[in-house]
Amino acid sequence: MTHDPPPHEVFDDAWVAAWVVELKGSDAYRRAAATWEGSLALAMDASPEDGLAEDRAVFLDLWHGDVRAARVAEGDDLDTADFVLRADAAVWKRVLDGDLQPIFGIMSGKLKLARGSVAKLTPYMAASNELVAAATRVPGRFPAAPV
Amino acid sequence: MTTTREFKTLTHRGLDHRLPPMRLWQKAKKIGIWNPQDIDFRQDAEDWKGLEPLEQDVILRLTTLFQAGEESVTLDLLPLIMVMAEEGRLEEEMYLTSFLWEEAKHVEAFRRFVDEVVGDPGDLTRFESPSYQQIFHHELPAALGRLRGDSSPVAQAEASVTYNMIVEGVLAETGYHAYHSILERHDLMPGMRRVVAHLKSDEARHMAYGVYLLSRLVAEHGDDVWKAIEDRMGNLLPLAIGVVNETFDAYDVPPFGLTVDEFVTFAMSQFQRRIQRVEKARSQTLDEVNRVETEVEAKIQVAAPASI
Repeated sequence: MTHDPPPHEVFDDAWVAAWVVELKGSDAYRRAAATWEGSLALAMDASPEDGLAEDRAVFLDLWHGDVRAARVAEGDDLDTADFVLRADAAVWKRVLDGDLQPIFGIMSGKLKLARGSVAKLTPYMAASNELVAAATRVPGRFPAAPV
Repeated sequence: MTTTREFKTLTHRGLDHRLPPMRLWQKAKKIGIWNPQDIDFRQDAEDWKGLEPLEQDVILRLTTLFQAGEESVTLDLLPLIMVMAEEGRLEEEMYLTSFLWEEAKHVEAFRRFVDEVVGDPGDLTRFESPSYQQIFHHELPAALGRLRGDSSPVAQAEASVTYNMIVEGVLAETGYHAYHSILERHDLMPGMRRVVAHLKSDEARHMAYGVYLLSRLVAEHGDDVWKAIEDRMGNLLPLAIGVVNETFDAYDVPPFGLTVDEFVTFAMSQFQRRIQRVEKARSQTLDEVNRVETEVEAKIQVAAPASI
């Protein structure tokens, strides 16, 4: 028996759109993020040997349990987001597989908090976990290494 | 007549002085010998009287968090010692006797400070924040208490994560950094600075033992234990950072120029060094863990804290 590969690559437009659908349908996220006002970007470092020629990132504008905007990061998104989490594809795969909790990733240095402070992010940790939980339900391919 | 027990010290094996816990035991006997009753708090009492009310409040808050924390770890450690005894890990149990003795001295030192410097502080439980209560009233006693009926490697790892990595490795170290920031930078309270210097020395050994224990469990039992460590950390780290945040939330403008980010950044750097050592144990043998931890242990302070 064979499985078709997931239709979207992680962090591309279609994957982000599917993630937003999951978030908007998640009561757990809505409750956990009830006080979250701000923006979050997730950035994946380029790794040509793993098939990712350029950095890739997504930007989320979060507001009281809702998602006001979500897109592949553009312009100065990464310079203005309240929080930017950055890692390579292998670490993001662990996160999106539900194998690495965001706070442990940050504290252990696997996930770099490139913008924002841990102290300010910590109150939103339950919401962050629900963000990730929703993302784990979105099928997504990671870039394939060139043959 | 039947023999039901074998005493290790009556066999050719004797004591294994190469094990990291035995090396920590030797250090504990040399540099862990200090008496809380010998600390001179007279200048501290004078300094206390000269502080602004908000400055007194932050020092008393910090002292209270340590006071209850030290009492809690003293009360909660015994089940781990009992597990080591039941597993016949004599060297580890020997070291842990000094561990518990040192925690008891820490309780005494902080209470002396409260009694002789602060005077009557009223009911100190007012300083316990929600995250602090969750850790010290629930998570710590539950994780250590579980060992009475479940001494599995995962249970031991979860207890050690809670005690060594979170309570000692994040909360206590952040607290020392706060005392240092307040007292050293402002040249205040030489008695408490001396206490903190002793505590840092003692706790460096405690955390070295915790890293050793977790590394040993990972090397012996593999990824089930590592996954339990990661999950436990993921659950407790928000609470630990929550304690720091809630402490700062009490002040519109924290006295002494303290900033929350400085403390969280410090806690992260300490935590990262230790967890990376534990993670390396996933690909190490027990002998390799013993060798690496012995090398690290050799770098831990070899002399008693200098006089202040």
